[in-house]
Amino acid sequence: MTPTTVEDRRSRRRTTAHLWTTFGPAAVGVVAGFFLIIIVGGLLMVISGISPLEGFDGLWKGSFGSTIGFGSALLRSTPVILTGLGVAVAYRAGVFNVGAEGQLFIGGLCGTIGALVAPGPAALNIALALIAGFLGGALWAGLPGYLKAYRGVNEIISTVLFNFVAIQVVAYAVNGPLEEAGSVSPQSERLPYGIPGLIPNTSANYGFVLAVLLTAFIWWYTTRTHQGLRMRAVGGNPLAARYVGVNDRRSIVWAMLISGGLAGLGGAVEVLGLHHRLFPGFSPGFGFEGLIAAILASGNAIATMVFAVLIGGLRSGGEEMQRNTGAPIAFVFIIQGLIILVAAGSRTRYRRSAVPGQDSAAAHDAGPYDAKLLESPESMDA
Amino acid sequence: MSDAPRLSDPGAIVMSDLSDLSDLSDLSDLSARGRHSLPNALELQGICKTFGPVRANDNISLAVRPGEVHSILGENGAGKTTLMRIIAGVITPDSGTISLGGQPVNIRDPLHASELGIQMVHQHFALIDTLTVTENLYLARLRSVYRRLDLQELRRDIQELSETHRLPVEPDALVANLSVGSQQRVEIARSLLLQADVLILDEPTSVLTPHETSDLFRLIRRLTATGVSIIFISHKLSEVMEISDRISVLRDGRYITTIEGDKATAENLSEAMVGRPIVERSFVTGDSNIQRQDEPALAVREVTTSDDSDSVKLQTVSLEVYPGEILGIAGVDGNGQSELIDVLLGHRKPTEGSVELSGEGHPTGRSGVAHIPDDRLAKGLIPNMTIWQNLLLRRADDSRFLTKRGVVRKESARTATSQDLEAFGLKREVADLLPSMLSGGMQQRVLLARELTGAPSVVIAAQPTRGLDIEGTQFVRTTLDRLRAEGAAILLVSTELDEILALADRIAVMFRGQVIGEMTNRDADLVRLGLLMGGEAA
Repeated sequence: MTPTTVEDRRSRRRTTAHLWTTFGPAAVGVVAGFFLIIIVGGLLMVISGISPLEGFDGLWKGSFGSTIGFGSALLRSTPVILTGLGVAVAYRAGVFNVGAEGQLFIGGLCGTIGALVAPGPAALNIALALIAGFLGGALWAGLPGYLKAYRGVNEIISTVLFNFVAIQVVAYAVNGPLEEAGSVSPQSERLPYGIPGLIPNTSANYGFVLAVLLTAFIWWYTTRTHQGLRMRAVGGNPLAARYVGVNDRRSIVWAMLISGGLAGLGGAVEVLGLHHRLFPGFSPGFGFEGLIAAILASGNAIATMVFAVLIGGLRSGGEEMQRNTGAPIAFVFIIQGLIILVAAGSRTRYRRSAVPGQDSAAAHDAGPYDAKLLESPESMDA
Repeated sequence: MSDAPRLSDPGAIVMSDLSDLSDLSDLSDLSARGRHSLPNALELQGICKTFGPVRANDNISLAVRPGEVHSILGENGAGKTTLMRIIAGVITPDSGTISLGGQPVNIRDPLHASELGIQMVHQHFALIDTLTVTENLYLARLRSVYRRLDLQELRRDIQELSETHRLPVEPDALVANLSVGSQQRVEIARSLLLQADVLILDEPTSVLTPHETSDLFRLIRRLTATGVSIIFISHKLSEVMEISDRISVLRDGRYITTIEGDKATAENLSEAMVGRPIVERSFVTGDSNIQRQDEPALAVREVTTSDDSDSVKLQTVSLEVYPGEILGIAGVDGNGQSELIDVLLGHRKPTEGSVELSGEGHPTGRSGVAHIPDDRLAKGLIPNMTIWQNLLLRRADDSRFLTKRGVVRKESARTATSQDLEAFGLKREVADLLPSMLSGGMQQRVLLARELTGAPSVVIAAQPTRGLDIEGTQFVRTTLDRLRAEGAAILLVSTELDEILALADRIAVMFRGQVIGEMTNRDADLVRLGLLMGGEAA
């Protein structure tokens, strides 16, 4: 059989269809979201007495339209990628980790402690701090994971509640044991080393490169390793996975450890790469933006990264717009919300039309490929 | 009998010609009137329904006479379910007409169908466990019958109905406490309260013991005597032949033929269903198969499980399966079979007793145990993974699928999967599909390929032919027979006595978590097994 047989082409077409099922709705969301930004955004600007031209100019320059803006977009998207990846990994294992924000906070805290405790030189110090951030986030998510797997505690509730605890733990730390001596505002001491910059004269740092590498790794892990496939099997059908011999409980805990670790790493990178110290409000909600990216991407690692960069770009562009025109950043949140609504809406509509007869008698009665895919009847009584 | 030649000759009808068909339907209509001087209770003319590329119903015409049992027979995917859903108003046909009592009707929705006198008893009952029978029926949409309904009046009516039709239904019983057979009678009572003219029974015997089945058949006879028409859907040929006045066969969404009940034979029915003659394979069972060795390959020793509310407690279950034999576990569904399988697979820990595999301890690693689950989708296949990935999950030690470090060898795994699939009669390209793209029969073959490739020493097969058509069933049974000949110890759990009797060398009957009888195939017969399945120790 040569590589260009009918079957091959057909299966390729099926793969395309599969890609469309996965990303199509989200892509529609992005495109529709783009037009929404133009139309609704422009309308909102006119209403608030801001020139739409200036507003969009700021939005563009602050995200992908200038070097500084681009660097800022990369900076902003780095923690979103990492928390998004975390949510995506858990999502693949059938666990809905809504606690990425809390894990990011704990990761930032542990990263700070790590950086303050670990010795130099810079590379070693930073590496140890990042590892500490990863472990902190992993443990913070591992507990809800354990509770879900072995005690049946709903992970959505437990991870949401853990967010509040994490935020308060960080607040306590910078007001208490980690408080900088003589400082007026609650914050930790300045860290000895920071993650080096990526693009000269911008705020982007090598944390972004780390996030991209981890994206590739997570993609490979979930699609090309036995462990990853077993984890996905649990997400697809835990009962069947158990019958195939997968330890579904252990897989859930494992997935949550990785998930929380990635989110925690996001916190550590944010602290070590940008602020160089810990303070209570160091995340404006990266964990939730990561959640949005992962859901739009249906848990696919690479798509999660793409959406995270778009979300990060939108935020950094919004900040620039705020500086230029005085249009409040909340304006960006309105647009974000609209994009999500459109993406979610197109997904639902697509689902309904994509699988004809899924809900009807046809699916019950016959598989569409039935006759074509059976060998001839003679060969059956082998 | 003007229509007799047509009915007895399956080949006489060619559905490609539409005009032919309507002529013939007219003829049968006339003859029915001539004989009964009554219009047909239900008549379908040229019903078509397509789902995307699938022609689920392709120009189907048939007529159900008043007071007859009319069976609809066909393989999976033949269009039975679609047709019944059209009649019950669940879906609307693309074209074609439906007439009730000679009057064309346009059925809008299930409620409308019910008001028109079409009632359907589904395979899965729509009853609420925590309510009594009366309360359940109160919830049924009885408004069309009763202006104002109060529970006491309904209760009296149920009692009266129960007496007139000799339909034992206890109005005050909690549904949760009723046997499956009684729950089915509640559903039938509901249909009768709703004044059914046409009653559709969808696979009604699949959940019943032989004894309950014969009760149901007597009830059907009494109902037809009062003029109710029954549409009986089943894939069990013996039952269809026993109960039907006429049998209509569908194949590939098309109407093939209608055969009078007394002229029906297993041969002509299955030929009409499949489109070519089917040679029924028979298997050699009995002691001659068994190479009795010292050690059984699978031994269950006095296993008792803990008491919890949502499962059946196993009580001192002991079984032995030797290499080269099939031990059949008979019993009505839900008498501890699935709990037993979970214990065998190590998913449920017995509180007492033990499981031994080939003389070893508890099967923690189950490399040598193949398991064909009773529910392909719920327990078998991972829906979001392709078939080759599904196979890979069971191939942890297979270097064709994985490197030593657990990295997937994608191309090699796909090729290996294709080879495994081909050995079970599937084409190579199935490897790249998702489970949802396959029919039930093909999903089962995928599971067989996943579990039975490379001679497994112990096979646990739970309802391996559930929902399969004739060919699929035949394939599964032949495969199990081949494995037996190769020396596998096979535990076959089935609620179908025909299957147990056809395949098993020895038969154990489970009832309420206990093995209440064990016998060789030679000593087994339907009566004895039926009694045991009902809990009457013989």
